[in-house]
Amino acid sequence: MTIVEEPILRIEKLSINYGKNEKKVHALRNINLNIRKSECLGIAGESGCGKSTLAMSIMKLLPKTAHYSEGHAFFDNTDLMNCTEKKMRSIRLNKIAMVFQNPMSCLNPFKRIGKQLEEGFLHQPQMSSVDVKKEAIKLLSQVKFDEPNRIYKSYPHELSGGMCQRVMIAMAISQKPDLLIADEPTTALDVTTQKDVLELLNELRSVFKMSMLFITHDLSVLNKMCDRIVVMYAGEVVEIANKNKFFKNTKHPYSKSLIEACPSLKGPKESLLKAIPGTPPDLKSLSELCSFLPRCDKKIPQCENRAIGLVNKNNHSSRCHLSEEGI
Amino acid sequence: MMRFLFKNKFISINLFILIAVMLLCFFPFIVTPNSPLEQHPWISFLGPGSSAPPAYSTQQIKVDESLVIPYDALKAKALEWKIEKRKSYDVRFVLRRQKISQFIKISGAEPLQELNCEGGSVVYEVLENGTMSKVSISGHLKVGEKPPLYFIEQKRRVFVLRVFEKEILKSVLKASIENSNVKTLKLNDEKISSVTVRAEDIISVKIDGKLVYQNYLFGTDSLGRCLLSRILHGGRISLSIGLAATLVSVAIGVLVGSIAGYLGGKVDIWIMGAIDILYAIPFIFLVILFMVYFGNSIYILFMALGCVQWLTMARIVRGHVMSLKSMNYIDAARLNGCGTLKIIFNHLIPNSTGPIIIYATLTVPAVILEESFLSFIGLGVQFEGQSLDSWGALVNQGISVLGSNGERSWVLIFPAIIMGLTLLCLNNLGDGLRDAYAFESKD
Amino acid sequence: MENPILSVYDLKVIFKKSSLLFKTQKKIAVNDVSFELKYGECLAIVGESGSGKSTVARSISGLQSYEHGVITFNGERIDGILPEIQMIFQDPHASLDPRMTLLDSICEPMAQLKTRMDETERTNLAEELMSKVGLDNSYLKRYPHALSGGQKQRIGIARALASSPKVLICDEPVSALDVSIQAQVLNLLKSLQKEMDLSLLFISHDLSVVRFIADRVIVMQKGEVVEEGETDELIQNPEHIYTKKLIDSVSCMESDTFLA
Repeated sequence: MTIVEEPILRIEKLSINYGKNEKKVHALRNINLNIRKSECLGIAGESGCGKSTLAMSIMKLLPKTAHYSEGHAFFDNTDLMNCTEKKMRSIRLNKIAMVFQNPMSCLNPFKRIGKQLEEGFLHQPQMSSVDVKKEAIKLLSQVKFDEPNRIYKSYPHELSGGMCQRVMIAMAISQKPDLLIADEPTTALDVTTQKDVLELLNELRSVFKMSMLFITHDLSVLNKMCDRIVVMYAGEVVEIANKNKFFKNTKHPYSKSLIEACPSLKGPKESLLKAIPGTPPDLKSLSELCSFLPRCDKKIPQCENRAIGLVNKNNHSSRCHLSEEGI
Repeated sequence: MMRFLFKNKFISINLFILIAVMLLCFFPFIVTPNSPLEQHPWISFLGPGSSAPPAYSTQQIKVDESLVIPYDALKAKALEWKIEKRKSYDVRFVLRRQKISQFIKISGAEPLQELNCEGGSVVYEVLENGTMSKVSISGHLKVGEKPPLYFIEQKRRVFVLRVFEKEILKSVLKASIENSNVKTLKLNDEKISSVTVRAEDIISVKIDGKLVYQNYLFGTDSLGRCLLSRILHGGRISLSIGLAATLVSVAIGVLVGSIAGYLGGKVDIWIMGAIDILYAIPFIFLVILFMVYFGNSIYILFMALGCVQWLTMARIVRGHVMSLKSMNYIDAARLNGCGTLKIIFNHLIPNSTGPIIIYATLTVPAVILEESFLSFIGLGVQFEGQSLDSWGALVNQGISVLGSNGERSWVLIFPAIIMGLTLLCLNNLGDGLRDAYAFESKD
Repeated sequence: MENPILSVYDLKVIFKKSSLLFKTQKKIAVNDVSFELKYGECLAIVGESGSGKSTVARSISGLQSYEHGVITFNGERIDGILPEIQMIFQDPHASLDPRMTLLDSICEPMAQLKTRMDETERTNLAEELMSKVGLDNSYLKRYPHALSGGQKQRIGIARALASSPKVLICDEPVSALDVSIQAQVLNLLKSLQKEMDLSLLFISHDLSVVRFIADRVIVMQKGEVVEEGETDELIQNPEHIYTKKLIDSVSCMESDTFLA
């Protein structure tokens, strides 16, 4: 897969808070990310790290309690954080599309699948309804449905979870977007269906030359899908690296612990999994120091007193004093 | 849930009004010292905002005897009444063949040949129950003549008239009191030993030199009772009935609903079928049957109303219990050896308190309205013999005294407004709780 | 060869959907399933959604009635709920009564058992269980909403252990948890199994978790057992196509770089 250098989405210093005053929850803190054209960027992290918030904030779909305190997200010469709702609406689906976690709750149970697919074409009044229907059936066959006509006429409750997710993907690619954001698309699916859906996404990515932002908590899925991997913890980016570099030479202690905590199928059998002690930090309190400090087993004296930022060495960034020291 | 409620200004206002009404109904002395039971026929149908001097309908005041004043003024030292009496005399006349056959002055049994009703004198007809109604007679009425048409239309032949003469006798009665006993009594500065005072003659009362009035904020009704006081005491009854019947309906409904919801299957089908059938029966029918069969007391009324209202509560609880049934902690409870009843009482019902409270709040106004309807059509009950009437009865009375041109409208309007306001607030509160609960469960 | 502590013969569970107007629809959820759980071992049942593994678990524990089949515990036939067989559930947020303090939740089984324990004895036992699952005693007075998913799952385990069970059925206990918490809970289960002499029946859809914790595996598809065997053997040399497909789906994502 050839990757062109210029980024289509550039996130700079993005910070998002929920609530006000003392009850402020810092969901995202100073996020800096780039997504290049035709690249798949994977975001890994556990619940509460802010990955879903990041996805929703790019699409400006956060609830009213969320405040965009600072930061920019440059897409196609527009700052998404500072643009009008009208402009945002023209960007959603046409330029940036999203696939959500639970397909059953994202489809309208009262409407047929075909009609829901055609909703994406509403902003193109010049297309006749016959053309739109043809497009919809073509989309359904692109997502590997054997009988697209039958699916076109079905209702969501008649389809299984995997099939619904494929319909969601069809809806997302209907306007040929430049960027596809997938927020844990296979978490709710069976493992065999997961494999099919992931292969489909990869294929579509190469056919449409889309960039993809893939969010998950499952590192093995990232291994299959992504070119670069970003690990998030407590609302911050803690590591960014190329996939191979990430798994061969993991720098941040949290990423290492995450990999070690996964039980593996083919590797050596463990008698005890390496668990991470403690719990994720409270997002209400801000601290300049490393947020993983209380749970880290590789601390050095600098960790207790010095603030830490993202340290970039050879395109492999890590928010850790150890990589700063070159350890 | 509470935080959501208070954030919402509309609901807070409703809650505030509701609490204010309930407080006043249970502690009416805060706004009015008047009693709802005391009748003052001489000040019947006073308009809202009026006031009248405190009095008994007839009071005999004697020296060296204790004196009771309509309200507590035990420490009073000096009392002063301004009295304006009009001389009056009662006359009875008999009709024979539509002509007056004789006039007899009642005091002294003096026969008269004619009745002089001109020059500013006012004539009332004294009815059998003691009330007086004004009749318009002018000029002279002579024996052997036809009386005015009004008398001919009546079926009776004997009438008693009270003629008030033009002359007004003004007098001032002063009494000095020690230890609630009258020490001295002076009428127009002349010492007297006893006097009988009629309430309608009293113009003003001064206690210790200060003018004292009984205020009737909402006016008075047909028997001169303070309307505000009646509304507040009546509210106490209506609200108590509402609460009691709601408790009965909650008890029955929660039990039936949770059993139907948890056991499911045939039990559920039969119970829901029974509920559907009961829904179809009009509630009045059931209540009347109850009252006829079990007697006419207020406790039976509670039960009857409660037995009608539990249907909705049962449905709600059943629905909620069915959604809770699939929760893992119920499975865990079963695995721990809990029987059906233990699960229902320890797990299912405590977790259903949200919907239960909401629908209980919505049942109270429904019950109050039903009870008012019963009182309105005359099927209400008195509370242990007192003539305290609930709001429905008050509205009923208001309609019966309403004049054809909207006279005496306040007797109807005030109870209706207070009742409507309370029911509105209760309904809004229930709606607000329902929204708050939905908001909370969404989180 | 010891007798198995739990055995299931020809279990058949049919879900009926009865309605007034149409014919009663039947769905066979579990079709002639038989297996044995040996004393002290961990047997895993693996399958995807709809395979019937949860239904098997619920039938054994007594929560689900079955058409046909014999379930024995220690050689004796059981029919219903037994305090020696306890269960922990998938959704940690739904497994605790939100209106009860954690102390009450843990003590519930003690209250139901015929043993007469007074207040202090119960509290002592609860504190002991809390320390076994690695939670601080101060949590006992709190309510479930104050805990995270992993902590709730541990309370679920503590509650299950309160009736001193011999068999612990784990119905996908870590599927809803994050990876790092999953590791904590799995380690806990493994150590408790040794410490308290439990036999585990572990239901899961995740083969890698199963490989870590189970001694033997049963693979189910559409209500039937398709393959059975020792964990390592099954994963190295799967025989049935479905098993092969399952292993393939998981392992294709693990490449050499991942396992470095």
